[in-house]
Order: sequence, then structure tokens, then C-alpha cells
Amino acid sequence: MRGSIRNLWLLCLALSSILHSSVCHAHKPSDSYLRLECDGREVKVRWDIHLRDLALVVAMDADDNSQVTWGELLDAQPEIERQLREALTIESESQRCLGAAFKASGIVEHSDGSYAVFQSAFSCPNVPRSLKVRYGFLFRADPLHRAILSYPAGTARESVVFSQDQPEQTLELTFASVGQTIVKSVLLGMKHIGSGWDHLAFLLALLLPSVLRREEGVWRPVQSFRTALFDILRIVTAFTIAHSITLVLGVLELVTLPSRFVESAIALSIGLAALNNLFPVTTRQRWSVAFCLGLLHGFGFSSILVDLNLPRNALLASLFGFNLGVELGQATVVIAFVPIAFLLRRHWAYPRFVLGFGSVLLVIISSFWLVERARGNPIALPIWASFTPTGPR
Amino acid sequence: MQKSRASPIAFFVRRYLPWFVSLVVTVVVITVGAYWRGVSNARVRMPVRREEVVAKLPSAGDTLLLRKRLSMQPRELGSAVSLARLYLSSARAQSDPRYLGLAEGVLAPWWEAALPPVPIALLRGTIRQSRHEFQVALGDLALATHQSPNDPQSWLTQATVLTVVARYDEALDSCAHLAALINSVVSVSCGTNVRSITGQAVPAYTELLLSLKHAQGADERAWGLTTLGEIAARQGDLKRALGHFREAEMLQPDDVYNLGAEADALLDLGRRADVIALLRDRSQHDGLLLRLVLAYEDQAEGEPLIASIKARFADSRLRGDAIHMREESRFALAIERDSVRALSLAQRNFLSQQEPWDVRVLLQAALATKDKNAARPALEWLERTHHEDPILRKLKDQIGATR
Repeated sequence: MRGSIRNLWLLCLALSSILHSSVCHAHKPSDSYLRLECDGREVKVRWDIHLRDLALVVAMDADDNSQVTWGELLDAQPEIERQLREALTIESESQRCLGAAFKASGIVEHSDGSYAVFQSAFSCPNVPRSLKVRYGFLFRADPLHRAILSYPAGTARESVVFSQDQPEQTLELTFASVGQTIVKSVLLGMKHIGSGWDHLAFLLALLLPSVLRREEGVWRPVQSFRTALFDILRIVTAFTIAHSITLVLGVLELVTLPSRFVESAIALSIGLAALNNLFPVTTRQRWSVAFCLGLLHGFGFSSILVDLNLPRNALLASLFGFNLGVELGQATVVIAFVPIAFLLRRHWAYPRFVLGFGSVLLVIISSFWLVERARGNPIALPIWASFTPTGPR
Repeated sequence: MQKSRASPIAFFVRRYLPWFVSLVVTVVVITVGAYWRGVSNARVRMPVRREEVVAKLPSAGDTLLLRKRLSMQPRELGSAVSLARLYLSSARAQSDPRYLGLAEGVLAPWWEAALPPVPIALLRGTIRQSRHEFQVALGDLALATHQSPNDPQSWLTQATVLTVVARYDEALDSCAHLAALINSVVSVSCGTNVRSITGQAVPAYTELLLSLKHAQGADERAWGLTTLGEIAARQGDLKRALGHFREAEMLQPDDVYNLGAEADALLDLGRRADVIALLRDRSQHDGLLLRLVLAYEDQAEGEPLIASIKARFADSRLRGDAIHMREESRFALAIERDSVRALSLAQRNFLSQQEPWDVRVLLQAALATKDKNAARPALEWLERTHHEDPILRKLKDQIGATR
């Protein structure tokens, strides 16, 4: 009797704690994430499913040790594939879009743990303007399960939620005009140059010596404005070409580098460019430095666009616009910089303070950024001493 | 230039080296990139080895057998009730709402039934109230208490839900039924808690304190101490309340509800550093994360936590859950300084639940927006209950003083 009472009121505690849900809704309830891309008649689907959810409907843990290995997941793939195919149907104008097999294409971390990523492509009988999506995964085991699906809507993406009570949703696919997309992304590019000033710092490091030339180990002012201008144009052009190349590669995901590596390398590039001013290795050919290191900056730009989660079909226009915006922002700074530097070049303070002291400052700042980014977390400094670039990073 | 003409090799190097270096760097960057692709895309990573462990699953334990049995006979009552209970206790122990969904899944064959078997009605009511569907939950619990009046659990749960929706007379009635069935700290807590809300905090405190002497086991004692602390706080004695919460914490260090109450008392005493020390490692719980964020107010270290609590609120909203409104209102008022939003959240929250903290949140938001009218339901509640908490009384006076 004693035993049963004890049991009973252990359950009492359970009930009451749950009741005080202010503190109980702690981890996350079950969600899966779907991401649709439209490309002509084809609808590409990426589907992230929590491994705990997957384990509820498919026996994956073959050796029953409470751990799932990648190999076990791959072995369970045929059964997973069957379940996923049944759980998701897509229709365009009342006609089924035929899905290819869902392939396990990796693991991704969401806020509450590891998710398996599955990808598939559905081919519709026509170019869809709206899609009717029916979702029925996991509801039997977990009626509180939800799926959050994002799809292209204009220059952005929209989300809908599937639940047991609402397993069907109609998505109106709207595509923004090319013009709208370009205008929006030009502004974004300019904003990024304004707020993410590590790119400007790099350019500045290269441009500071442009109104000078190196002769017998000392800096002398250049004679003509033309000489300075040509030097600047070569550097800016090399930088632009280089970062455009990698921006395109990055955004189209032809080449993807880990962002921590890219961000650290960008910081390093600023330091190298500034050091080259203090201990010149190459003075005439700084454009080649601009080109080599500019390649890195393109990957930095591309992360901005990738993070925006743009609809695939708006990507090219956005890419063009964003790059244009970056160049415009950059040109503004250069146009402001050149005449001032040219006028100041004969002053004794220019090589010593503007170039010398400026480069030292850039080396310090960039090493700070390098440490911070390589460590992966910001160094705690009071607000007034913090010079970390802000913006859509 | 003289020198370079003298040595054609040096001239060649100086002229074409930069081109060469540019080319090499381009090729290297792209090759490295192509290699890393997929492997280290910040988002999706492709495991290289088959042996790589991609997930740890909670151990199936006792659930395995029951799940197997139910997969063959989903309507087998005994197994379904046992499994649902196991899931509910996991949900409590780990504060993991995923288990609530699983429990509901087990009860699926009876979920829509008008007259389910009694144990199912009790479990269904429990899950429903955890989703803040208090009215339907009360229907289930009425069924359970009516059909099997000798089950103390149903009375206790019913009393708790009735207290949340401010039906205090009926709650006391349920507590009386409970007390007739079991004589323990739990049944005394039930009644004294209700009476401490409705203006009898002093005698309630004494009664509960006395009953604690007969507490059996640490769990029961901790349970009573948490309630005792809340009653002390309602009398305005935060220091004594804190002592009770602390003692309960020593007995049950992971009781999320007690930790939340302790943090609230500390916040009211202005002891933010203590809140941070208490909750720093417990930010996976939304409710505790809120208190942590409040404790970090205006400090740079709190920034990432603010981002994370915002993300959790957004997630919950996207799912269509509305069980965070009290917390979100506190967050909107204290951190976002958006009193209009805080008020609208507090008002919607008050429609579904009327615990003292819901009253407080509504009063605070109404005061911040100087909206006397919005405070009226809370003021009426104070009038009706004769609630004594000096913090609420002071808020009432402040609202009365605004014009």
C-alpha cells in the first residue's frame, strides 16, 4: 500500500510541474523543417528531420546501443525513403508532381540537436504557380509534431506550418520582378560596405600608398595625379574582379568555405596588406595582392547573400544587384579618399602618420579580429573599445 | 630598371611573379573550396566515416516493451496507460515537451472519445492542461473525478487547474476530496495554496508549516517547502520565502518549478548576481532562461541569451503555441521596453489563466502604458480574492494614482 501511494504522488509531482508550464516548455517540441525551391517545372525539397523523430518511425539503431551512426542511417535509407515518400505529396493544379527518391545528404544542427538532411526533386506536369502540399509525417506517433516549410515569395521567403489538424497547405508562389530584386540587393550591397568595414579596411590598406612611390627604401610623393589614379584603378579593379569571382562561386554554392575560416582569413588579409606598407615586399604590384586576397573577401560577401536564404530563382538578379551595390559603395569611398590623399601626399605627415601610423593601427585591429574570429567568439571589451564590424554578418 | 635589364631572369621574375602568384592563389583557393564543399558547409555536414555517431537517442528503457506491445494492439488499455505515464514523467523529469506529444500519440485511439476510460480521461486532461487548454482539460478531469471519486490523483489535478483559472471555491472543494482520501503534505499544500491566494495567507502558512513536520521523504518535503515559500512571498516576506525555496532546492536540486520561484524571489530582492549564479547552466529551460535574461538586464553578457530567448518565442509562435504569453509579456516589458506589446500579451494571457503572476504581469503592463482600463480585470481579481501580496497591492495603488 505504501508503495502505491508513493508512486501515486510521484506522479502528482509530475502533473503539477507540467501544469506550471511557464517553466516546462523547455526544450523544443518536435519540428521538422522543409525548404522548397522552384526551378521551372521542378520543385526541389530539402527536409531536415530530428534524428530522435526519425528513430520513432524507422528502426535505425541496429545494434541497440542508443547511438545512431551515419552508417546505420544509410542502411535504414530504403525504409526511410518509403516513409518520407508517403508522408509528403506535392500537387500543381490538381496534378501530382512526381518525386525522386529522398537521399540522405548530411547532418545539420538546429537549436535542439542533430537533424538528418534529406533532399529530393519533384517534377510537376507544368510550371507551378501555386502548389498544394500535403504533409503527414510522424503525426501518428507524435500528434504535437509540426513541420515548418519555407518557400519562395517575391524577394524573400514565406513560411507555413503543417500540423495534424492542418496537414494540407496551398502555397502561392510569387516571384518578384527582376527590377525589384536588383534594387533591393543593390541597397543591401551598399549597406554591407557601410557596416561591414573589414572590406574597407583592406582596401584602405592597399590604397594608402597609392599617392606615393617607393624609391631607395623611402616613400616619395608621386608627381602626377594620373600616376596615382592609375595605381588606384588597377588595385580597385583587381579587387573587384577577384571578389566577384568568389562571390559568384560562393552564392551558387559551387565552392563553399567554412565561414569561420573565411572570416579569419579576411582579417589576416588586412594585416598582410598593412604590413606590406610597413615592410614593403611588393610596392608596384599591389594590385596582385588585391587580387589574391580579394578572392577571400568574395566568400565573405557571399555569406551575406547565402544567409538571406534567397529564393533560388531570384538569386542571379540578387547576385548582380548585390555586387553592383558593393562596387558602388566601394567607389564612393575611393572617390572620397583619392583627392584628399593626393593633396596631402607632399606633407611630411602623410608617409609617417597617415601611412605609417594608419597601417600600424590596421595591423592591430586586424590581429584582434583574427583572434576573435578564429576563436569563434567575441572578445569581451567595453562598448567604447569595441571595433568589431556590425551588420548582417 | 637598370638592374633588371642587367639580369633577364630578375626582370622576368619582377614582371611576371605577381601574375603567377595570383594564378596559384586562385587555383589553391578554389581547390581547397571544392574539397571542403559539403564537408564543411557551415550548415550541412556530410559525415565522412560510416562509424561517426550522428545522434544519441534517449535510452528506450521501459518504453520499448510497451511500444512493441502497442504496435500490435494499439487499443490495449493497460499498456497505453503505462506508456503514457512513462512519457509524462519523462516530460517532467527532463522538462522536454517532446514527450507530451508522444504521450498524446499513445492515447490517440481515445483522443476524440466523448467518454474515455477513467485513466485515459485523467491523462488526456493532464496533457491538455499542459497545452493551456484548461477548459477542455477540466471536462476530462470532471469525468475522471465523477467516474472514479476514490482516485486522489484526479482530484489533485483538478484542484490545480481550477486554481489556475481562478475558480477557487471549486478548487477548495477538490482539495477537500483529496484530503479525505490521502492525508499528506500534498493534500495540505493543495488547500493552503488556494487559501493563501484568497486572502488567508497567514493561517495557511502556519497550517502548512505544521504539516511539514509529518512529511514523509525528501520529495514530499520539497514539494511542501516550495508551496510554503510561495505563501511566504504572498505575505511579502521574500527573505523567508527564499529560505524555503533554498531548502527545497537542496532536497530536489533539479525541480524547475522551484528554481523559477527562487529566481523570482531573488529578482524581487534585487539580487541579480545570485540569479545568474543559480541559473547560468540551466538556460535550456525557457522559463529559467527568461529569469536569467531578466537578471542580465542591460549587461553585454546577456545579449546572446536575449537572441536565444527571442528565437524560442518565435519558434513557439510559428508552431501556433500560445503557452508563453506570460513570459513573453515579462520579456517585452523589461527587456524590449515595449509596453504596448507587453500589455497585449498580458491581456491575452489573462483570458486563459489567472494565477497571481498573471495578475502581476497585467498590472505592470497596464501601469507602464498608463492604461487604467486594461488593468480592470486584474483589479477586479484583487477585489474578489482579497489577495494580500504587497507587490500587487502597490501596483494597484500606483494604477489608482494615474489618471
